[in-house]
Amino acid sequence: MVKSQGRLQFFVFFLCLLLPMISLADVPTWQIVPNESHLTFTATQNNAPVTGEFKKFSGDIHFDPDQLNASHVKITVDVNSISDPYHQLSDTLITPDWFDTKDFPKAVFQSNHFTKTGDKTYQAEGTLTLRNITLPITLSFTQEQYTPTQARIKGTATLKRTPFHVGQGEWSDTKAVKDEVTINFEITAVKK
Amino acid sequence: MRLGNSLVQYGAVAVIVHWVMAVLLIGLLALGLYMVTLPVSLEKLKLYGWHKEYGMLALFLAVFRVFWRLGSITPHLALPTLEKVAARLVHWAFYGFMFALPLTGWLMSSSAGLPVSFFGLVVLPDLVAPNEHYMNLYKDLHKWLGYALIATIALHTAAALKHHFINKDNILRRMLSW
Repeated sequence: MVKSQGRLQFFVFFLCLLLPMISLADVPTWQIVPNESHLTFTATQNNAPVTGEFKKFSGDIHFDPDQLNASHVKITVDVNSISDPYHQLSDTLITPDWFDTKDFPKAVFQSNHFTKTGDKTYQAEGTLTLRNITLPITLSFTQEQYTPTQARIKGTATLKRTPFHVGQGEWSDTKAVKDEVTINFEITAVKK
Repeated sequence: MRLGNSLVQYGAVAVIVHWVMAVLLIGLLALGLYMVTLPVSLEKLKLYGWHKEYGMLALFLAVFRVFWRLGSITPHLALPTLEKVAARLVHWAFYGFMFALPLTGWLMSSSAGLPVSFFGLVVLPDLVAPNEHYMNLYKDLHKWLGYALIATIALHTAAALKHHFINKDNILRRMLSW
């Protein structure tokens, strides 16, 4: 009796070892829940933070914390959805000196290189394409909730605006408007 | 030299704070009226930054001034009752403006998602969350308070000059020396 129970335990254990191999074939696809997802940026002007939001973005997310090698994401941001409580600011940011949304309506982040940095923290190395300029960028994020059907992450990235030609002419003065811009995101997604 | 007020005269602190704030508030009004007419540019944002910083300085001075005033005696005002009431009303209206203007400005900045830096030393905490509707409300309040302050300064100045040149009394002079 004792012996057969031991065998059963071993068998279950063996099956568990196989589990990741089963799911390897299929990295789950996630669908962003727009109402519970936010993408904001914070720049620094006159030593004070200036924050705005991109209201619309979509994602092609294939992510599994157990299969980081097979995970890949592509986030497309509708740059025209830039929004700020101070209208004059967002009206300025869509002009050619800044995001030039008429010629460059989309910004794209892509990554297929994920690293686990802590218990629930990850890094995604990838590229950001903004104003048709593609440069490397690294995102850090924390998994706040992860169930088989729903996930919630919160993360941040820092980038420099001038290499993307965001803020031209007099605005390229990085003493007046700092070069470093912080991106913050909160994404809730459901498994497709 | 006397720092505090006496029953007949204002002291150095009251006189100096009066004139420092006079220059500061008139400067802020002029700057405010000018900067809003500019198109969005680095220049405009720089002036907004100054307006916010000096506005906060005015708020701190107002806090100091109100404590100084509450802890001081006020020189006797030799005027008919009605004029005395009018003068005191205008004085307290100024105290109202000294707080209401910077506070609505601060609320405006917070609700616009544009926090206030204090001369690069510290970024002031936001009083409210960003909200476009409230931003417009605070903006209108700030604007009309500004216009009302201009009218009150005009009234106050006219009264001081009337006392000096028409009544030929010492009302203006006692704010000029201590």
